[in-house]
Amino acid sequence: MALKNFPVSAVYFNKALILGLASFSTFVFSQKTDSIKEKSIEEVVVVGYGKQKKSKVSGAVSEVELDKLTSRSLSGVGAALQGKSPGVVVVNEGGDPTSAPRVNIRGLGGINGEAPLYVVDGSIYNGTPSINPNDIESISVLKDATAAIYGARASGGVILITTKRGKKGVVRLTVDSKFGVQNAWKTLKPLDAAQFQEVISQAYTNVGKPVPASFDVNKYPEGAITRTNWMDEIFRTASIQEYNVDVTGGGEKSNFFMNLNHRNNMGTLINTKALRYNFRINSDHQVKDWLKVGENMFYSFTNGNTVDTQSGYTGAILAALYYPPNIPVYDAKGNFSGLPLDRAGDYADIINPVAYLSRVNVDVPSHTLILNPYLEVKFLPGLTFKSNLSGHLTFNDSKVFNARTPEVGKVDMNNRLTYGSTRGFTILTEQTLNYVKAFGLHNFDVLGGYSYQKNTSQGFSAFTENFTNENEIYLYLNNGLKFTNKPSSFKSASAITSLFGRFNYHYAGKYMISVLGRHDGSSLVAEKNRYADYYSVSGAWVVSKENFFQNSIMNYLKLRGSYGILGNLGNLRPSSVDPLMIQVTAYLGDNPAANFGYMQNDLPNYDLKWADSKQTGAGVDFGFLRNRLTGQFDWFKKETTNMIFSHGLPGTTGMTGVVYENAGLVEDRGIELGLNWTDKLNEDFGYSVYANISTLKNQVKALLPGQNEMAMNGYNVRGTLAPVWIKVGDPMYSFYGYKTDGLFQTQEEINNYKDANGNLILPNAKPGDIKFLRAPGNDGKLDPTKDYVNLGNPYPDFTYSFGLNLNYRNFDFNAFFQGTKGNKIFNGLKFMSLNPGGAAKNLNMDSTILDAWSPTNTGSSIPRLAYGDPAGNYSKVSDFYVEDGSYLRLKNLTVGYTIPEDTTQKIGINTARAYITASNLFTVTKYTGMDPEVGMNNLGIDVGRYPQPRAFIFGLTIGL
Amino acid sequence: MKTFNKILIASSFLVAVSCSRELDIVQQGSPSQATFWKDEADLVAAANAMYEPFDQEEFYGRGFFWFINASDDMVTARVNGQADNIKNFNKAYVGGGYTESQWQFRYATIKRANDIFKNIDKINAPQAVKDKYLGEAYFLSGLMYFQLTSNYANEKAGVPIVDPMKEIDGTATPRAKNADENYDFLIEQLKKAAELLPTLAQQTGAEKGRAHKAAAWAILSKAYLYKKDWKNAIYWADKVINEGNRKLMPNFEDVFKAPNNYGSEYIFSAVSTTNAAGGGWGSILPGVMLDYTAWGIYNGWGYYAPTKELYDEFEDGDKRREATILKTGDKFMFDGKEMIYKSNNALKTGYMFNKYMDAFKYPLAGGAHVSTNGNKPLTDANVPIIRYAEVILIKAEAELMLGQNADAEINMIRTRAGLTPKSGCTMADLKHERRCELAGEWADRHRDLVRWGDAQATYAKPLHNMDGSVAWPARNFNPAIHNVWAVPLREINSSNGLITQNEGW
Repeated sequence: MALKNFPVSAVYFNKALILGLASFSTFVFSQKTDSIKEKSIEEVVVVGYGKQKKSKVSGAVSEVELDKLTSRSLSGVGAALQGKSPGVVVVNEGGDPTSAPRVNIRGLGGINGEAPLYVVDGSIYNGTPSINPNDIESISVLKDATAAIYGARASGGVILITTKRGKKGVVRLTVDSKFGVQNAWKTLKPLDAAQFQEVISQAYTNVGKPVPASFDVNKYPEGAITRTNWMDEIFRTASIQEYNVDVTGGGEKSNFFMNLNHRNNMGTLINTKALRYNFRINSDHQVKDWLKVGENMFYSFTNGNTVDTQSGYTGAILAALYYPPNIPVYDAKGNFSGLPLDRAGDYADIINPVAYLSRVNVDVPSHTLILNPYLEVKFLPGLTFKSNLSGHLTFNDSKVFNARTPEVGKVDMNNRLTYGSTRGFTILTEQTLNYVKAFGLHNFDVLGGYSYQKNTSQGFSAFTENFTNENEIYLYLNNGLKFTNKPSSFKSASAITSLFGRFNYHYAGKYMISVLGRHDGSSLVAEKNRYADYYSVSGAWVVSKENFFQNSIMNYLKLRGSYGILGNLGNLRPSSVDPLMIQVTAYLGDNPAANFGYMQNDLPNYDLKWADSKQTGAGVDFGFLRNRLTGQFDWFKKETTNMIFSHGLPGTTGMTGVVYENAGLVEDRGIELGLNWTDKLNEDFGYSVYANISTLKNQVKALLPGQNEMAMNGYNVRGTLAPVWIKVGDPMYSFYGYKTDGLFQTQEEINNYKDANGNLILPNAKPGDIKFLRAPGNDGKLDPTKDYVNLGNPYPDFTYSFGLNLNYRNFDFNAFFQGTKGNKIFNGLKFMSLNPGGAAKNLNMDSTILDAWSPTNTGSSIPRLAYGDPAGNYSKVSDFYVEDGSYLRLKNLTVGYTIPEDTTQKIGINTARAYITASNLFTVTKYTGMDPEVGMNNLGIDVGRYPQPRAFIFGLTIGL
Repeated sequence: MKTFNKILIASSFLVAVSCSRELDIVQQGSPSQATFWKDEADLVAAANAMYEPFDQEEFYGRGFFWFINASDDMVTARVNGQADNIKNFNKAYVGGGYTESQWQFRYATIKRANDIFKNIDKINAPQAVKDKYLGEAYFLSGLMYFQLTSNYANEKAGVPIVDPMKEIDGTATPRAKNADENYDFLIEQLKKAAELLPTLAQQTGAEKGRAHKAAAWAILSKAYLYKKDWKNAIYWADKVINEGNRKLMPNFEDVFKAPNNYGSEYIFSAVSTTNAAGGGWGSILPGVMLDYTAWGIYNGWGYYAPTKELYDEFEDGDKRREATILKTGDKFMFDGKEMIYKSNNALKTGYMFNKYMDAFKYPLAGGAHVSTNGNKPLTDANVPIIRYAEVILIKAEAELMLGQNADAEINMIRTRAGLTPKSGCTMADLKHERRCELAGEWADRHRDLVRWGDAQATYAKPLHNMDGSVAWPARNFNPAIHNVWAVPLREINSSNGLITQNEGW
């Protein structure tokens, strides 16, 4: 139907598709749109429920640098934001092609702080929008209390995304094709077979234990022959490809933008991938001079395959580290190899990593459809009514088949299929009335509105097992021979209603004030606390507009300040106030049958209320040298109180779930600086340089009444090392453990290390073991309750980025660096990779263990080889594991060439540009694990996370 | 007209959104505490939920078996630091995943029982029905407290007693004064259970596996034995013996076979079945004891392996020896084929526990008797928690402690084992019989050694492999500290100072 309105574009669309798919092997073209934008203080930015000239904005709003966005191949909006705006911190959650990065504005916002709220083309989006980065026209970020216009869920800041729209003029068709290859930028280097034998046998010998036959080269010479480098087997050079077809145009009354996108990102680990198809149509129609209607329509299909790289037991990359290198991938019959039967006991219950990865069989097609019509009525000059309706549908299927594992090592002859489907529907309606009026130099802009949003989600899941045949065609529920598990289904819903208003005033563009308020109601909090009021006040003074301001160098100066209180619903679920009971099964009877029961696993809280976020901010906007140098400097303080935290319950409550409570106070403070230098020397040469830096100081000021600390035991390394705590007075999610003082070099040092009673503090230690220190004040024995000290936290003290754009004649160049400083990583990998027999079993280890301390290698910081870790070097949480996670990364490097127009037009092409983009080309870091971007969803504990890929992409853009 | 149009269009949009009750959303899918507790079906569902933790890997699969594994009967045949630390009474084990959830599981069952006590009056059901499920609640709660008390409580500190009538507010419950306070409490619960529960004969086939009178009597006798209240131990053991309608099975090895899950010796077991999702439901102890990788055929976990000390404890001619232990060179059936036993365990004592291996004799394919899921290696045989033979030995021990003659009881056990009767039996005879009869069972040899005051001396000697070499070096057992195990670290951490660690740990 939509296409019918645009017959011209439909034709072009077909052509473009063919052209797009065929365009690789051909030549090089370009487009002018990537050239440097003249920055202007007078440009318009999107704010909540409207647009404002940047000079009239009184809050902290920053625009996101989108330079060369379309020359990169990105997973989504999060990746596009990384390093692009001061105060916006984007942390990659590993390099998994299906994982989305974590975006935070001005800190984490306390325990269970609100994630940023995304608003796409004026409509609130639930969660992170599935959006094609290519469609983005602009992104602006509301960082301070002025976000209160979106009060309900805006305490984490608001990211306003505007997608591209058609412009008056000719219809244009642009085809952009990218193709590239990528590799893990760094992997682990396990010991080879002979080294593995040597290290294990040395480790046994050092503790006086007999060496198992499998590690004695004389008894098992086969074991010293390296047949497989498992890291090489599980990693690959993977392809990445992406196509975008844009059709855009418009006439006097109507305009449209259409995009078709396909991206196929094969992961660097075998059998992992992420696939995406997107389609968008945006259009606007001026029906009458007083009536405008339009719509945004977006469809997305995604699918992907990934594997667990976060478990210390079964992580896919760990499996490749653990597996003996003397085993070939396949046996003589061409089947996957297992451990040698008679030697299996000497190794461990481990799975052939290639078999494991190859068997991952996940089909998770996900469809998203967003239908967003709007209507705008101009009643009187300056008085506009806008009605916005947005329907957001998601259809997610999940089919996971776990195949049999017949190989010796960890035999599992059970195969099973889980099939589930979830549908989500969100309806949002918003009505706003806006009145803009000027009386002389007094300017008023008043907005009032009402919004209602309801989210529903429903689905089912079923499970059968014992499939006779594992051939793909049989992998449907009906072919499982055993279906003792009941299917399940669910439905949940939540709703939010809001009344809001905003009053903006400015005098001659010199003094501005903005007051806004919001009355929110949520079904997620207790009934008696449903409604809450939020507000903010902000003001600004454009000093440079004053007559006394005469400055030839500085031409623009604006001072800003804001204060407000915003709401926070954290991670509340519909069942947080009054949790539903959980159905459980017990098998009883002489012929055991399922007896169903209900049990309460979570504690209700009928007093649950909104968390509040008090935000104070001040800032300066400035421009020098006729705005060639522009910048923003901001200071902020965010205090999150009544934090909603779901905390685990003590065992004696008999519940293993959580209770949601309001408590505590967490403070975030920071400063942000963004600078941009743009200059055009002549027609041929222009450039811009920018830099951003954001600092963050976080402190937990209070937890539950009477509570000073909270152990985050769920975040651990193989259930043994749980370093993360929240403690009052310290930054949230800090690591706590023993401080160490290197390794003991002599027995004498050990003998002299005594407590006040003359007892040895580390009686099991031998030279080459770690010297664990007591905290000041403890003169007794080593005691974790006394001696654990703060060893740093995984959130960066500051993040920074800088970039350079150059245009010389038809060449363009972009370089973009991004980095973090002061974040710590708990390198839990060491627990397995350097600890012979200590992590449980005789697993293969990382080759850095070859440098372990020995009487002849005393300079090392790696403890001596000791089978089973008798001194507890590895079983204690200590700074031995904590490493500096700071890094500087060349995130992006693009070189493009635009073919001169007169050449292209001869062959009927408007613009043509070719480019090469490299991502993650180099990284500077001291971190010894695979990748410093380990993310926050394991709270900075790395047990061998999927590393970031390094990609080289060749792209071609043709415009007709 | 034009203005009218504008208003019409605008208001038509507004109509769509009028709201007042939009925030009243009733949650669906299952009841909440507010809507539950109405009728018999709710009571049955609440009672069923008490049995749910019995499926947990670290409950009756391993869990407290890590503690039982500290005895001289067995060693950890796998390379496993955490397990080694438990066995060596090294406090480095505290906080490790194997033992951290031991309180959580038991207090979960206690909580579900408490919910029944609290809400029973709201239930609309006949009194007889209420009594039956109240009885189950008292039994399971009493059993959980008994296990917690015997492992964690001593004269210095008890385990927390959760008041069923107190509103749960999310805070931890502090520890009781001492073990005696716990015993008094749990004995009261078990007595109520004994009153309310049906007899085994009254249970239908579908009710088998649930609590019954004799089970309550049996746990009462064991609790009194641990409390050193010998008279009451005898009293309750006698209840089982005289009124329980139980008798020893003629053939020892039959006791552990699936067809005899509810045989004449059954008192209370961890119900296990392969007829459930994910391979099965119940206790994985059989697979945990099965030789590592089971000669490439199955995912045997190879953890708890018998020692030469245990093997040598058996007298020649004791039928229980071969039924309990498989030794290198023995012929046995596995997966439908005859094999000769040879261990693939990392630590090869040369022995494997044989008690629970009947199901593995049959072809494994199809999963009729043994789970196909190597991560859930259970069988269709229930794993006894307490069985009739133990009750007889409890009575015998109490009698001996009172200076009475226990020949009759001990000889019942001996005769069934194919041994000649003894006369004038002493505690030494009792200890020998208890060890041979109950090896590798939840009866808990380690606790016996601690109770008897034998642990320190016993553990000061190394344990041996079949070939006479040392399997496990001597250990330091300090009775002042190690008579109880360490409270799970997470309970201390999450208690805000209310729960303290056992002294010395």
